[in-house]
Amino acid sequence: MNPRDSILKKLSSINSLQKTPAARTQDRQIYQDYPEETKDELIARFKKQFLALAGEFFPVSSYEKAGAHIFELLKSVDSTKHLVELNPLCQKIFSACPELEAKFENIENKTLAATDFADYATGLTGADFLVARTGSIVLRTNSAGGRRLSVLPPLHIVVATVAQLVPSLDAALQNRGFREGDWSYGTIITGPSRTSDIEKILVLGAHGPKRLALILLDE
Amino acid sequence: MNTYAKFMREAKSMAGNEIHRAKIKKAITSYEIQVDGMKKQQFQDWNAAREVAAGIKNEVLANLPEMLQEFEEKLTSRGATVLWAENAEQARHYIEEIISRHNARKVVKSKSMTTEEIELNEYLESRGIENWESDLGELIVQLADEKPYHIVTPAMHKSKQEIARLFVEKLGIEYTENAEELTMAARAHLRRAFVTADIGITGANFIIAEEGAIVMTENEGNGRLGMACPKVHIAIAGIEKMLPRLADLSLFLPLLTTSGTGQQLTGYNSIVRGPKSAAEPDGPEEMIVILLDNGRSNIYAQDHFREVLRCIRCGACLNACPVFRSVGGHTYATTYQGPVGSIITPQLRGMAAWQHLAHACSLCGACTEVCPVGIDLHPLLLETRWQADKEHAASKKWQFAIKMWSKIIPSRKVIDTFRPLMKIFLPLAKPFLSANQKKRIPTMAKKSFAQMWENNESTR
Amino acid sequence: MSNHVNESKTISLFIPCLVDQILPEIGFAMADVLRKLHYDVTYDARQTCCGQPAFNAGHRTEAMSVAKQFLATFSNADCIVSPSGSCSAMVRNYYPVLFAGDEKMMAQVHSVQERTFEFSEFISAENKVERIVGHADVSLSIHNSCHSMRELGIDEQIADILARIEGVKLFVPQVEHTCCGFGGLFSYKMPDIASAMAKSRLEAFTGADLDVLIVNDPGCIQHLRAEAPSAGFKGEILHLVEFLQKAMD
Ligand code: SF4
Repeated sequence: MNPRDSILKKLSSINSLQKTPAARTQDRQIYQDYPEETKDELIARFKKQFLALAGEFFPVSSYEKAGAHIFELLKSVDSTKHLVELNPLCQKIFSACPELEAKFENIENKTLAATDFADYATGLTGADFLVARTGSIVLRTNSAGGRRLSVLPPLHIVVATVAQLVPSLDAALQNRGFREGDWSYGTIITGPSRTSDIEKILVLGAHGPKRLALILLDE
Repeated sequence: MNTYAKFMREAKSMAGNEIHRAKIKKAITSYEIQVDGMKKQQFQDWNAAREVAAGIKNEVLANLPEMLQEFEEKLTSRGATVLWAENAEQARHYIEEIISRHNARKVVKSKSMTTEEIELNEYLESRGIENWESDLGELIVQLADEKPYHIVTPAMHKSKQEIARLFVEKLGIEYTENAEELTMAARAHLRRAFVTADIGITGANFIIAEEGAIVMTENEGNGRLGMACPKVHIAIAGIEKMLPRLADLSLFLPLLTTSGTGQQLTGYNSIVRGPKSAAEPDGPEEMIVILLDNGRSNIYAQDHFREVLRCIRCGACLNACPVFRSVGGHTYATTYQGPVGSIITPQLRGMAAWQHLAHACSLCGACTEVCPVGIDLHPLLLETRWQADKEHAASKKWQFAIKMWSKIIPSRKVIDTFRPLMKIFLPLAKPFLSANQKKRIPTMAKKSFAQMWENNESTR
Repeated sequence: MSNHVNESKTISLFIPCLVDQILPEIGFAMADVLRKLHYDVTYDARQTCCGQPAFNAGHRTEAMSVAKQFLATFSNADCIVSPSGSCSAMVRNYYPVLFAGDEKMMAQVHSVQERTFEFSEFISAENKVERIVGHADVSLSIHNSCHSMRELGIDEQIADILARIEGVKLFVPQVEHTCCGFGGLFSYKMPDIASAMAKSRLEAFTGADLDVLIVNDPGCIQHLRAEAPSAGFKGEILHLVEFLQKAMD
């Protein structure tokens, strides 16, 4: 018998099991209780969590202001090479700040080997959700320009709108749209890369981005 | 030397090692403060969270064969391959086949206890494959030529001075005790490996039936790089890593992370549903998931032990265990240390050679108290001892002693006859015992409580 | 818990084997304290051991024959009180495991189980804490045994009882509770680990310069007394009932 069938046969030979579905988180009061939050409260909660994780947070009210912050961020890094996944939000920001567009290379127009990323200081991507309670950013390959752009460059800039903010991880994962689409990889990012493997001392920038910045647009 | 004698020797030397005790105490104290704070901050009812998690894991166990097939079907529909391995040898064989098919020379690995279980590092080295451990803790133990000390924090036992000396010797850096500089040295050391490796090998913290996805949780980003750069991604997962639905992660990720490191969520929680899809610019062309049994189905077949397959490998029971704190992770000489390791190792690797681990426990119950999926750990250690007794794998000496004891002890008359003998015998035994044994040989009371009570009451 | 105080309750002493053979003074101290609280106390010498040493070492067949003897001895007892959390937990939590599947024995187990208590738990459940009066000018701390704490859920009861003794200064250590390393046969099979655990545990108390460490399990007491000198703990190690016996004089 092949290994697959032999494992399945062994597992299936037990009859003493109760096949009833279990209770789910929604059925019990598990998490700290948060009343329905207004948009501003959600933003405040997200901000608090995100900053506590050493994220760099820029709330803005216009595309111009968003562009200005991105501009400042680019000035803070060594290299002059930057990559972008040109999603509609980025496009709008770029149209509002044309000088910014010239700074970025569009990942869709390039075929980059993994080794080629070494030159780039910045990866600019969109996001799918922002999770208020944990200060997390949820990305999938279709919003993040593949797998590498958001992890290889030392600075990861995310642009998102307030409409993408959800209260909890549950709300993001249960969202109908999340599971749809032809994506192979998604990641829940909670702060910049870090490690505490040496005597439990927290160090940022272990292997992934050393810095994580979020431009949050409230139109 | 057999496994038992080796354990006893190591345990003795570690138990007397004050430097080790101080290091572990420091690490675990800071862990405990973090965990307590995070539990309170995040959960209103931690016990309810554990109960729901245990329930979901029981649902998984009840439907495991169906869920494994669902997982396989969904994942393969997106172009990935699922391979089933009954034991470590089969798993290694699959990997060898993939390596030779791609003519691969360089592998980058992220932290995975399952790969430790199949001794993949040793195997790759014996085949002359360049093998880069990319998790910082794993890198440290790999450079030191050691095994992971702890399933979650592999280098918990190393001070920054020790790590500094190791990096000076192996990575050729300038001596520094600064944790940030040491981390940056590791980053620089590994960066080239990531972008030039042929194959990325990872574990999986969860696999999701409904979604046909694997989930990897990490802080450093090394796992992400290993799944983003090489053209082949191999993930090895124990068959028990299953969760029914994607949404269950909203409980299991915080539960694992809070118990594991006292964080709310780790830096990166990646959900992988297959190799690069047609529309995507990058990602592995090939993704293979190896589902590993390696004795798990034997545990599954036993009603009493099945619940230990709920384990999500958070490491909390190790940290809570006073025996672990005293003897350290290496003394166990197993892939999985601490209470949970002492339960599963005799099941996975043989009762006779490993049952002593179940006896290395005072039954204090600290493990059971902290386990986030509510596994009755110390009762299962008791169950293991009973199984060893039934299978005649228990220590013959103790087996005999208990037999004798059970003949004497139920009868007051027989006890009273034997008492004077014991009083003579116990002190005589002392010269044959070690200092730590000797000091706890009790002094028998002049008369037993029963004898004294009778005297007292008759004069009352 | 009922508020009804039943003065007529007769207490059957449950004397663990270790107390019977090695530390009988603990048994007498408990009897004394219970009498001071106006209970009738009886003792049946047919009891010898609850079977825990064999059970915990995995030898259930042997444990069973000893446990049967225990059940028979106490079948007619009114209230069964022991100075050991561990032995009480054996009867309450592990007899059902030992006799699982044996319906006839389980009926006996259930009936004895309901009437079995550890001392501090019993006094609290009976609302007798208020009746304790005494005096002792000592600084002390508590080591609650793991089985008393985790198997029986005994927590504040011990401190509440000690609070009734005038003059007591209670020290609460910073670190969380950990096991002292006794664990029955464990400390004989793995003496070096047991010693290291005792050392770690006593570390929590050594700095405080205590007169007394109060413990509520004879096993822990025997173990800690043996370990105290090498761990540098200088105070006296007493069972709760031994302390009460003196303080309530
Ligand atoms: S047994 Fe429980 S506490 Fe121990 S590692 Fe597994 S899940 Fe964590």
